[in-house]
Amino acid sequence: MVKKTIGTILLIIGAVIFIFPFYFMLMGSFKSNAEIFSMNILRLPAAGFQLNYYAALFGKSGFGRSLINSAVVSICYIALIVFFASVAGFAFAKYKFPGRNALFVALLATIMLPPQVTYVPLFMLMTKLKWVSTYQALILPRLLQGFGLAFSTFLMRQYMSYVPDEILNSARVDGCRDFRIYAQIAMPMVKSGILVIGLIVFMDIWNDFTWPLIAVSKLDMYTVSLNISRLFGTQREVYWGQIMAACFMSSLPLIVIFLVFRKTFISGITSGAFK
Amino acid sequence: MKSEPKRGEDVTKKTLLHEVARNKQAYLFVSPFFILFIVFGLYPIIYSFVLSLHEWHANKPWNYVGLKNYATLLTKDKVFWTSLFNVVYIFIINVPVMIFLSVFIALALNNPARKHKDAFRIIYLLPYVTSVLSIAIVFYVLFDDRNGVINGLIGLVGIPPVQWLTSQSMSKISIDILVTWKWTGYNMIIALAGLQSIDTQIYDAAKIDGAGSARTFWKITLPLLRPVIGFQFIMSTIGTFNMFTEPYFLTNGGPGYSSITLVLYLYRTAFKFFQLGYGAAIAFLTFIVVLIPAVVQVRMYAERDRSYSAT
Repeated sequence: MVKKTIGTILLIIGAVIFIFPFYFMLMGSFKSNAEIFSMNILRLPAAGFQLNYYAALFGKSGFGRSLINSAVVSICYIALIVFFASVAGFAFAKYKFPGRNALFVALLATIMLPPQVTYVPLFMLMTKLKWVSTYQALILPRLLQGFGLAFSTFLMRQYMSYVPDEILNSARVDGCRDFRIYAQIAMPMVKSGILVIGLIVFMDIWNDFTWPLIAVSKLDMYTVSLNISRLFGTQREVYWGQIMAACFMSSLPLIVIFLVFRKTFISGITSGAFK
Repeated sequence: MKSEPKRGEDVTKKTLLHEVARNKQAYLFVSPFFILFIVFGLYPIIYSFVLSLHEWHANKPWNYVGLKNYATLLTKDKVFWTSLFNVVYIFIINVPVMIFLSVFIALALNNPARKHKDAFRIIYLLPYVTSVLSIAIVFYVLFDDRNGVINGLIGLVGIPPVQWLTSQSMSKISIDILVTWKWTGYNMIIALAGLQSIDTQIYDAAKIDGAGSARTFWKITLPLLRPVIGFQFIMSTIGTFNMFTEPYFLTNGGPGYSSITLVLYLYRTAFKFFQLGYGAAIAFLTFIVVLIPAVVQVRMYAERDRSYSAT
């Protein structure tokens, strides 16, 4: 009993530590520099909850444009990953073709590759293709980095292997073509897998910073991360409230999606690990 | 459709070709990954290696120097060794603390009598879903020497202010605090899944045998969690050695070079000073550093995959 109480107290202290920076971020977005750098952390903003910093953010600094850029990149990226990973996962799970195991091991082996090995040549390739500061530069090379296509295919193959062979075979007898079997029969049966991969991949691409930093130089192609980095690093007079507003705006979509899909999200994390 | 493929001597060349032709759809389905990998993975790696054998500043001709870049890095470049030392330092402090905390929290949450489990899980996972850079910027403000909240809080209990980001001795510790804060929740979820997969009958048996809770933890829980902790360890190793964004925002590698990491050094060399050949050599050495944990990681996946296909 005593032990459980101690546990509860520690858990609550931990929870406060984990929540506090978010509270600080949100409150900071309404506060002046002097208020942010003060010990009165629990005091509400002196000027009340005015949206000045948010207005400035969307007005001058092109934050709206960078939100759109991040959204476009994320949507295209997720769509490509889900399509390529599910179709490859379907083939790896449901066909026995010569070289299947070797190709699957090769695919797994690419996870070992740290993305930084490819940054310099990829940047040169982007320059040569005139892709610097384009959507395709932010999307296509990124498919091979982070929680990318290789890992998504690996997970998708597991989901696909649960689709019963009998259903696929009977569709084949009915004369369905391979792609139709994949699209109309297998895909609807792995919806939960698609959601898991979509969520984790969204988090990965939305929060990405290193590759956009290399691949983008034009201001109107900045992603949210790059825009915040610019606010943080290059402004002469730093308005911390505005930066906190930007950090909060960039975190908000993920926090909302996480709260809505929390069960799927957590099962996604554990399916990427060990049970 | 699914059964173990028959391979080996009995497959003659003719039937092999026949099999390949019969499965051409399957090859088509797996081809996008391999095409993308050749263009955006394999080609850059080979190019990177060739480049690392050259001296090359942007817009000047390539100058073949053999292994000179590697020799310079390993024997003369103090910054390279400092950045390697820094990631090892960050790793050694962060990983044991983080894994201990994650297992501890998971144990506390796994208590069947615990209330509000979901709320705790969600709160502890929030840092994981938030972008590193937003969090790094918030911590930058919290760590401020004079007016930061953290120095204010420790001042309440009489500890003098700490130069979190502006002293050589503390800059790496500050990065550790950020990384631990960000990743403990993720590791806790994995540890919790590991705990929940342990058969409760084992605990019942231990209770009947009169084992106390400490003994049960050391003799039953911990050994059964070993694969989970191994996974956490490997993922954290790779994450720490590839770290970039945290020091970029929190300390920019400083003061001096006290918190520069391998990837931050690579980024500066290649994209700030445009020493692309030298940068490629740094990239290759970082690859070699993470190769061993990465091989272990992939073998873990492959093994788990085998256990899946067996069932």
